[in-house]
Amino acid sequence: MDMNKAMRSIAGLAALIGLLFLAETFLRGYYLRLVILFGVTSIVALGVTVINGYTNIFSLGFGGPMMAAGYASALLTLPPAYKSAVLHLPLWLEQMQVSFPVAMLCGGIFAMLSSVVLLLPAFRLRGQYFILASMGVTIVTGNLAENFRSFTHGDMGLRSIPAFTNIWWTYGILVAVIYCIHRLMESKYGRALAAISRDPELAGVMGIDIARYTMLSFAVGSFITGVGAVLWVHLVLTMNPKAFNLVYVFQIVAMLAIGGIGTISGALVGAGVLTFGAELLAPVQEGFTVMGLRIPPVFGLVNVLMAILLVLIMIYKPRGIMNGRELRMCRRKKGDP
Amino acid sequence: MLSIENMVAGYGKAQVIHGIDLEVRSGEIVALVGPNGAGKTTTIRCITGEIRPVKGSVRYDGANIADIPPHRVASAGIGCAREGRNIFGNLTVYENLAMGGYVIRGHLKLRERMAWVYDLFPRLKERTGQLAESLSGGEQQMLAIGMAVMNEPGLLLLDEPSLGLAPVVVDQIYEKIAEICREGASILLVEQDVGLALDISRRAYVMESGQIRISGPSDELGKDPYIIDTYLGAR
Amino acid sequence: MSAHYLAQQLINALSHGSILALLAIGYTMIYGILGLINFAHGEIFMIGAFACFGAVEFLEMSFPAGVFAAIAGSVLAGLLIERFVYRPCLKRKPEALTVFIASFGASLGLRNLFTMLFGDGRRPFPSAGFLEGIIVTESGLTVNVKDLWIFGVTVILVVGVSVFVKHTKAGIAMRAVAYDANAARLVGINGATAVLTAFLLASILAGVSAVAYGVSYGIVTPSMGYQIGLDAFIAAVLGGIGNVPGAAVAGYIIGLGEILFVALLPPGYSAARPTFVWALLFLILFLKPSGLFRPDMKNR
Ligand SMILES: Nc1ncnc2c1ncn2[C@@H]1O[C@H](COP(=O)(O)OP(=O)(O)O)[C@@H](O)[C@H]1O
Ligand SMILES: [Mg+2]
Repeated sequence: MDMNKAMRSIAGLAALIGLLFLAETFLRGYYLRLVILFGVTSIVALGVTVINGYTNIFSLGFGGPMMAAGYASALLTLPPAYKSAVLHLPLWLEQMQVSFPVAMLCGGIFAMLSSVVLLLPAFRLRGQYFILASMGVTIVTGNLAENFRSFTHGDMGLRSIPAFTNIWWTYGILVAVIYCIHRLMESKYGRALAAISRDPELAGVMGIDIARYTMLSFAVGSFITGVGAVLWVHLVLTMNPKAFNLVYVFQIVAMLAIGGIGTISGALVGAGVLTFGAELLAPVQEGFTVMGLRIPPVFGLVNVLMAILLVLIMIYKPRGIMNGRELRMCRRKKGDP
Repeated sequence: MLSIENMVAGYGKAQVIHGIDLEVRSGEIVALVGPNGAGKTTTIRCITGEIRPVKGSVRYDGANIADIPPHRVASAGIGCAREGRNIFGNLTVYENLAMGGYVIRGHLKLRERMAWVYDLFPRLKERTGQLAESLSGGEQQMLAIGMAVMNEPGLLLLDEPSLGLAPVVVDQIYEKIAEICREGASILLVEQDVGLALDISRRAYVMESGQIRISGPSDELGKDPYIIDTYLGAR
Repeated sequence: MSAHYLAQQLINALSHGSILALLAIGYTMIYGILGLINFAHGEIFMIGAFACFGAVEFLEMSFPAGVFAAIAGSVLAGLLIERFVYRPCLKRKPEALTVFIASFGASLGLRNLFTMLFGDGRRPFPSAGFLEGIIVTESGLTVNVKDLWIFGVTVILVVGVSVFVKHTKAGIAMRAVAYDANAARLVGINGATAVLTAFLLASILAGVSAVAYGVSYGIVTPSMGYQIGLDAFIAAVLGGIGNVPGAAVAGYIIGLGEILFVALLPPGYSAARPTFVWALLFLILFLKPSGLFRPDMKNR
């Protein structure tokens, strides 16, 4: 049985590599970017799933740490000449230029630290007060980024960020993240988290240190979102205070709600629906002809349709499209843990 | 007054009540007793319309009430003090009683009922401006019963009014329940304390696992060997 | 900083505080009764402003008629959102997150719809002769006539709604539903009616607030409800969720705080106003985790 499982995993991985290779060979420009964007968005969504889906808190504050990671990576990789031209940085930072993996690691760690520092005090708060406070973290970080011009160039944002993100980096990290979350959830740590999200009081009585586990999943999830933010920055090549604002945060949360929160598949499906859904609907707003009737182009229609879709899914599929299930490559046999 | 026939009910797919018959006649106190989880509260919920029975009928004064929504049963003349403290903690005692009489038309009538309840529970009158959540457990139970009788119901449903109260307080409350009955209401009293319930009631039903195990006049049930063994052993 | 200067800022904060107070009451009532953050409330507000703008500019109605158009627009939006988003959503007894996202979707959808229909440019808000003019007091304080109007109308509405919620049968029933909807049904209160009442009142206040905003800042945009909606929601939380007068007072506190923040610090800092508002919120929540005033609802 184990052999079988390993074989299937290897086959799946090989198929994925083949697909990615095909995508890189045949997809051009915009469409390749879309595939990469889906990967990046999935990583962020998975990070947020770890933060919100497996614990009993609900944070909208992950935009703040992502912002920190994005700016950190941009500042660490931009050419010193650009930095000295538009920013006022301490000399060591201005001169520093690191490789992509180092920047990514720094981004992840930065996100993790800032999320712990920013949100630790908020753990005191309950229910809607925590949601509100965490929302504030995202808003305030954006507002600070607008105002610390010497580091961020304010509203103008940072441009000419090196294009490091490609399909291999993105999907390599995505697979690694999926694997790690999967392993994590099957471990003792994951079972404790599951117990907490089902019934925090009972879990507390059973002797599970809720604060510690919540903290831990917070840190791990923030690290993942930080890495996602770095990938995003080196894909889009600009960084500005609105990059990970409340609207972005809501979009990610909406993805989780659409796919179904608390599962890996849910995050992926949600990211897929929102990333590709907008593209599928795009022709609608270009204007088209129905039975000889010319429908004129309506700019912004896609946004409206996506919002309606979101509301409809919440009404008719309140637990998300995946309804809490995981897609599995191999069915579990009886007796498996 | 109230007659339940062959009623089957449950939550979703889980069937909890497996076909029971139960009757409350005019002016009597009927006890519905049984262990925890037997389905007593579920039975009450069927009468109040919170749950729709799958099968069977619930009739009150000859009319089928199984299908009317909960916010109509009050006007139909049924008052209910649910399990736990069925009060609005964010309202004052006065406001709670006013809500108990929500369906009463006319200010005078409301005043009159309010005075009656304050007469019944003078303690509530002393606390009239106080928030309900700041009352003691016994006072909260008095308030819940007071609210349920505001509307001068023909049938009063009480679900475990003794729950979590000190014996002295329970005695006070049971005195008031008897008084409410003397004033003309029929009462269906759900209780886990079988001895207490048999003492006050005229007839009783013993419910176990969603079925009526035994029923009959309370004084006879009090001598029944099965009841003594199972429920009154400690006495 | 003289007392005179402070008094002048206090006067300047009258309008802004009123706008926030009226909106905050809407958030607090709907949260109180349904336990949901109505993110679309900012859009209900925006639609009211557009209704007034349209009625006066295109239908050539008088300004007072425009005020009623604003109220009608907001009420229509509020009731439609309740009917087609929240009611079907809540019927399935979903998790809090689901309703939260639906509410966010409704907000985003309406904002995008109005951007699609009208573009995201600013439009001038109509005004009326009786609102123009400035009063200068003997001590040299200047007061805009329109600010007095806004403040006066707001005070009347806040007192009216507070009295309604505190003392009328329908108002007490609303609070009863907010505390325990099931228990309320058993005494004969129809929960749906109470919810509609809450949406109706919240939307009326949002419509008035929209007119106040338009008169005070002179513009209408599809995104006008976003920032101010957040600020008003903060006020609702600070005021103790479910507490109507608390929300109004907190609205004025935040409004005044914002004006003072901008007025007292060098101009370079005024862009950091959102940070200030949130810092104020954090500070108060850490001192009093349930807001400044007692919440008037069950803890959810
Ligand atoms: N809301 C509910 N959903 C599903 N099952 C329930 C619910 N409430 C009660 N039950 C089940 O119905 C059975 C009867 O419960 P209940 O009527 O409350 O018993 P009692 O009041 O006699 O203690 C119990 O087994 C209980 O687990
Ligand atoms: Mg019970």
